[in-house]
Amino acid sequence: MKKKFKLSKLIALTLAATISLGACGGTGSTSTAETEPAPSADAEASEEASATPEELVQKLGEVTETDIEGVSIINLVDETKPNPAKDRSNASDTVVVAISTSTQNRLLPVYYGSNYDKMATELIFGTGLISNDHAGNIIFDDYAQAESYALSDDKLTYTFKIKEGLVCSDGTPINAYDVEHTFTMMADPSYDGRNVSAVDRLVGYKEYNQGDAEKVEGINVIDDHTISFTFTEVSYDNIFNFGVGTMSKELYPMAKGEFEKVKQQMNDLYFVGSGPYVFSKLEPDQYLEFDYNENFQTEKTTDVKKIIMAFASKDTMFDEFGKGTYDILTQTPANNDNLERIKSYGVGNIRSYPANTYGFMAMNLKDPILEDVKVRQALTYGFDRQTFVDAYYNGYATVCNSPISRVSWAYSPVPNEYEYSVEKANALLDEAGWVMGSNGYRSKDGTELSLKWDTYTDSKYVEFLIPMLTENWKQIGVKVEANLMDFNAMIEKTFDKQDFQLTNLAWALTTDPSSLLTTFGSQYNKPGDNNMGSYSNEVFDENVKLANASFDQDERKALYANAVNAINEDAPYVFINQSNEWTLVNDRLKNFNSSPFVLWHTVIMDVELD
Amino acid sequence: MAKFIIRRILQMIPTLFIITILIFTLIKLTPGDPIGSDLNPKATAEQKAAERARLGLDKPIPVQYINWLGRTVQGDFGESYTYKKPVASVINDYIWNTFYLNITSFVFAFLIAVPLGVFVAVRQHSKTDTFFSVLSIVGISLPSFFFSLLLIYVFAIKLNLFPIGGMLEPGSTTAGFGRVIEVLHHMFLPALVAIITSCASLLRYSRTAVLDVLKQDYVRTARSKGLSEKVVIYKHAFRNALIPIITIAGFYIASLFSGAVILESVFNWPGIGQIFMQSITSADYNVMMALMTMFALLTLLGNLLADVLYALADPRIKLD
Repeated sequence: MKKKFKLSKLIALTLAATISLGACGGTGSTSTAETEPAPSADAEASEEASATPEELVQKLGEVTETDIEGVSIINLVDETKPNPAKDRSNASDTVVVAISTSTQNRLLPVYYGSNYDKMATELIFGTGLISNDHAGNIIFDDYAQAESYALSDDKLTYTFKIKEGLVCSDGTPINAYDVEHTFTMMADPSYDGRNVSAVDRLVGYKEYNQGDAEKVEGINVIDDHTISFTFTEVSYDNIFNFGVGTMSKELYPMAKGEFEKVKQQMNDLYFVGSGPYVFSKLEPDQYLEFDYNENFQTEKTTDVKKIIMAFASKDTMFDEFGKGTYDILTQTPANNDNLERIKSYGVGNIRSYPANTYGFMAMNLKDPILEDVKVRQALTYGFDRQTFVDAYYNGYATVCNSPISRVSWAYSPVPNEYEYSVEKANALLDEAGWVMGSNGYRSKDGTELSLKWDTYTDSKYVEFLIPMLTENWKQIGVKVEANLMDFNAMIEKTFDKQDFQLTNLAWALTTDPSSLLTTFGSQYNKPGDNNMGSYSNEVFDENVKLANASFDQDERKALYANAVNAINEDAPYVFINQSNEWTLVNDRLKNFNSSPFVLWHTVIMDVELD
Repeated sequence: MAKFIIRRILQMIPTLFIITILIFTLIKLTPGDPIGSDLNPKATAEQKAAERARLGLDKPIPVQYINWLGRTVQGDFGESYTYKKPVASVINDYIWNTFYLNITSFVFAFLIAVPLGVFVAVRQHSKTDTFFSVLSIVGISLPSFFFSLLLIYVFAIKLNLFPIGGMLEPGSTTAGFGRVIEVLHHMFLPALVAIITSCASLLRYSRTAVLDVLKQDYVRTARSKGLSEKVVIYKHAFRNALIPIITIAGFYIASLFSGAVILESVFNWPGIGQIFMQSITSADYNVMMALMTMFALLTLLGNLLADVLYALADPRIKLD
């Protein structure tokens, strides 16, 4: 049971206050809600950076490793303290989950807005034809509407067996025609949502979307419970397009060109699906309420008859958790200050795991200084990333050297860890012809080795990074000048205009690494594309393309390793950090098993309430 | 009077027109647009261009403005890019929450600060006057963010008398009168912060206004006629002192509907301030334009209202 994070999505990123780039490919999605300061990786700096996490944890609590890769629990329950959440009048059957940004109230699987909207749609409509486990493998659990699939020999056609007896919460049956209806909606010419990439590689998409075809040729209902989808090109990640909850044709009728009708239903808050919970109430910017769906197809029973998704203020969310208003607090920053606060309440534990993001400094490879690989390598060697990560994240993060999450099945260690070395950096710059001058900065042919770094305001991360990076690079004779600007302005300058030398960003990671192609592939270097620094390496391109088209996991892992090794050598980014994120769980909840790829809303049914 | 009001309303039209041109241009000149934020990252440059064209963002700014104006005068503010529903409906979801909080603070702040201003003005240089002067300086300088957190710590966490934030308990089941009580309970702390901070500056305005009037010749005349101090103050001085206070009140009209961003964010109050901020970060043009135009219009109306009230307060002011 576990699903969650749609496999191919990209969560927005947010390193410190802002970001959200969409990220690396996949059927990803980013949302406007996340362009707001999200607390997630925005660890506040703590003054006592000196204590290692091990020391602190010894002082504050015990850590238990779980049997899920990468997930550990920091035990902070203090039995001598009261647990006010147990006294809430709804404590026996209700779980209150706090989220850090409000939803956009677009709770339809084909049309969700923020990632939190998506979680709500998955409670109401299920996770689509497929689901995934903690390792990111495709599974068919209760949240999935299919029970199995078969892939044709040419690897272009996916045939799904839809579960028998599936009904919506109001009793309306769900069958293969409803699945066809759902995918056809996203191909509709009047559809203006974000899920186009779930259908635009299907045979007949263009003819339907831009022509007068009456149906999408690649979608074929074979019988009431069997449907096939045919793609125009082979790609392993095609399977991830099926994580879209099924919407009933009877409940959400529309003819071609009539998507407005569905939007109207959305604005009237008509949300009915076959997922485990039924939408019951929306108080804008306050909370969403869901009741258990008695018609949900499962053999399990659940204690959790009601879920409330409440929107928390960053300023007071920990206090609300301590006071018992919330049972679960998702995606909170991992740092010592927060650890001590949470410990002081003594009402719950922390589930800690690597966030699905990594922070980096991007370089523009079209820049005359940065086009030289030796300079780029020197910049990586010349930045003491470990000290930065320890100081800023208090140890709740690791230095990152790869664009693949360290908990992913596809992760392999890289050949060169670029450990901090002023000597190596200096040697590389010398080789590259940059001569140290009397003013402490290098120059070549009369040009000073001076770089302009575009970054954004209102971010503690940036405030920490600027002095450390400037000082480190000064020691190797590189001058860097931080140019602070509004985040949106920086994104436009970096991606749409590609007018930059250096910029610091964070990418959200997809569960499947196939998105590496759009992030670093040489053909994705046009304005607006994700490869904003114009990285180009044939070895990389070839290996990623082969990996994306392969269906053998061992082979894929080896191919991705080759591709990542090319990046490791070429250093198009200064990789910086992959940080942890914490989910706080009140002690009255037992058996809550979330992980980086299996978020809270798909394991909530298994929770046992004290 | 009616003639005056009609003339002023007619004058507002060109003013508002110029304001909207300025805001529209500034918004459009700001880097970034909503496309990147809501499209799938896999969207190709072509798909992004098509989306821009669908929204009319590919046209020159003057053309975009004319399109916007044409829709707006017909009462159509367009669709929110973030919420995918009509802007009017988005605003309606939040603006009343802001209004309830602000009208409560507004009424209490004026009821407390204006009489207090008169009270201390007639006791100029007394200990009472000094005490309130110091207090109001403290109130003005107090950062509302810090003050809010302080109140939360004391009243919500330590004493547990009030909720930490929000407008309702998550999953609230109250209705009718119970709902009103629940909202008021949640409103207490944010309203208290708003009342104290606005009282502080209002007190200084009303004190100064009364002091100014007390120095006027006609007050001296009234006193020399042998009128009682009570009559001098409340009949002769106070009415005249109302003019600057009315001006301030006029400005407050617009702020009744524009949220206090910091207050709403700290207290998790589901008001329009947060929606406005979010529309700026996500470049949700239609929401931004609708809100800014509305704030401008309310400010103009507030000024008009103040002018009308001047005439009621001071018979020397004629409006024709």
